[in-house]
Amino acid sequence: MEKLKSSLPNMMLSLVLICVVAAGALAGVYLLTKEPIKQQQELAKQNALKAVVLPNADESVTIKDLSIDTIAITAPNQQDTAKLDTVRMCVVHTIALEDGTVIGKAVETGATGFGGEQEIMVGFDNEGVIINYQVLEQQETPGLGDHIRDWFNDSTKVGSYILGRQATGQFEVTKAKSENNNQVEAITAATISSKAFIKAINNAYVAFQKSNGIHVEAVSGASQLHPEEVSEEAKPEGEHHCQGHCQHGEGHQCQGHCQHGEGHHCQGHCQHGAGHHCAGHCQHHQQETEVTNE
Amino acid sequence: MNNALKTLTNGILKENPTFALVLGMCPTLATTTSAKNGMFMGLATLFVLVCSNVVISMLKKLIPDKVRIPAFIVVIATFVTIVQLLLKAYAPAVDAQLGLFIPLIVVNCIVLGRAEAFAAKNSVGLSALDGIGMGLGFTLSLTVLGLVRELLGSGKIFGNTVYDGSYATLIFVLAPGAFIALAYLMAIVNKLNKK
Amino acid sequence: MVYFLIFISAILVNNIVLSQFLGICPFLGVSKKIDTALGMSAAVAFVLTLATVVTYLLQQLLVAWHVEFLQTILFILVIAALVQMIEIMLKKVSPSLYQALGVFLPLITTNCCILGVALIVADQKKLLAALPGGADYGLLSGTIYAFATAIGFGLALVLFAGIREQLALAKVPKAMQGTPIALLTAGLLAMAFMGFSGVV
Repeated sequence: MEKLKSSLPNMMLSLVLICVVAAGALAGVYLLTKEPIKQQQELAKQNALKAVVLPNADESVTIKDLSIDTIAITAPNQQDTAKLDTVRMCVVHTIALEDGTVIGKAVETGATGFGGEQEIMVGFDNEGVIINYQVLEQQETPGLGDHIRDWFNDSTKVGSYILGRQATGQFEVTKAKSENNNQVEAITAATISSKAFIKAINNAYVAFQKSNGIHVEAVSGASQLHPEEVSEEAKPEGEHHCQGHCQHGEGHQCQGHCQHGEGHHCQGHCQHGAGHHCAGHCQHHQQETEVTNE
Repeated sequence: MNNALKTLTNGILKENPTFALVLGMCPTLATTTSAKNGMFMGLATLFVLVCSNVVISMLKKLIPDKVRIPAFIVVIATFVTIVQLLLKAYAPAVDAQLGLFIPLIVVNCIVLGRAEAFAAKNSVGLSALDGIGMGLGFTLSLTVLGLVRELLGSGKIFGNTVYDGSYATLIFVLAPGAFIALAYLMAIVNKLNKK
Repeated sequence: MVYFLIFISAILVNNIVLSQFLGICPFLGVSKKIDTALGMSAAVAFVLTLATVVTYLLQQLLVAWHVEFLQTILFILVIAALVQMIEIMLKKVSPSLYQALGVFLPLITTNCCILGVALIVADQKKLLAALPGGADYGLLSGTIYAFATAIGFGLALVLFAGIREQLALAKVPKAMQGTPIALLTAGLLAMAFMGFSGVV
């Protein structure tokens, strides 16, 4: 068979046919993999929460995320530079076993580190003792700042080891030897990254206590924003205001302009990734408010 | 049969995409921070290469000359997306490690290059073999580069510690190290070829 | 202020070629002389900025129609189309530049830099990770980021071309000639740029 000539109808036909078949094949594979992908994401979420609250549990133990609160914290800039105070959103997950016993809370927190934002998940038990932490994202210097991943949970580094310590919101980084519960030895040659990390832990504790209804002042000056202050921020020109139960990922700053239907109260469940800045265009549908009871 | 064997081994040694043709540099440098990552990147590219070569060879008479590049691109992009979806569903850890570079397979000069230079002019069988050969050659070079970088930069091989990481030359797992490691590997290959 | 920081971050701290490994093929291929390097950078800057805007808007459509899996295909087709357009434009407007760039112009389509940046800007999580703290996700930040990235690409390219022009006159061991010594130079350049980390 001779190759098709490059006439306009031939070219159009050939391209359109290929595109249609391609799109069809892709749609097919997409439908096939949709469920497995969703399952993987759920599994990843479970594992992330389990890792900080029940680190030694085996695979068969499942936990439930009973409730999710987003707490706004004002924290002076972590690097003590002239940058303005940031509002940091900490997301507190209340974790329970299958039978409903609450075993603690996992808090998504963060800080501005040396090379970028650090995102950390830390698990507290019911008394506020640190169970474990995981660094979700970080952009510190490899070999130096990126040791936040494995330094503060290394039991051989006694002065820096924070697992099992009672959190107070008053942790401070010291380069010398740690003398009490509140002093944490820094990563060698990575003080800025260490300071940012510890401030994130302090912020997490403030959020943890707030979700228990207790107001705590952290050493970094971090404190829980009063509800009115939160809605001040989110209320430009009398539009919809965020009533504060939004479960946006860490770093979310509601800029208003959410195009919710009349009378909609943002109940959260927005499944935006960490660092989401709502720039409007949220397309909430009726169903999303019903996703409450998973 | 000889022809088939020649086609297959061509991509592994004589026309190795990395060392001989110097194609597909971006993923080569970016994903070889460890041998495992390099290997998986190579395998993903191999999959796309074989599939797109086969399909394009099957369709070669139906694609008018003037629209061959866009047509090839659509076919390649389809297989790249399929790889993306399959990885996300069944190997999310690999997907997370390779990140942006999986969709970037679509602009990997090797894939488009082989489609244009070989698949468009040869039989389906030979095109498949060419895809396998080139893919294997690419996987090999990425794995070797990954091995070197991982060993020198963190003291591990495929994740297993060989020597204490604190004695390792960290730069090899960072950006400059990629360039430097590849430079010397290429020089060694050149020297061996000249002999 | 934050927009100025985006420039510093994209051009120096996270240079697209020297620390993110996007755009290596043209980086090695077109950087033998400074004027071709400049011409290529200008073309890339134009395509990159334009492509990013179009793909960003396209992404909003894809999300609205729940067909995100068509992202790769559509993005690359948009880029291919844009490059075609530029070829036609350049032929009319500046035939000399068109001649100088020669075969490199259609190669911009396969420049991973363009598709890479388009994908980063379209993905909210990735863009926010790429921008310095304080910047927020949106078309403006994305476009500025893309343009700044293109400048960073041009900077790396021109610097490299300058070094290579000098290198052509030096005595290089036989096995290292050509690509190996170029890669080694790129590595040293990348090391130098590492010094910018932590600035933003």
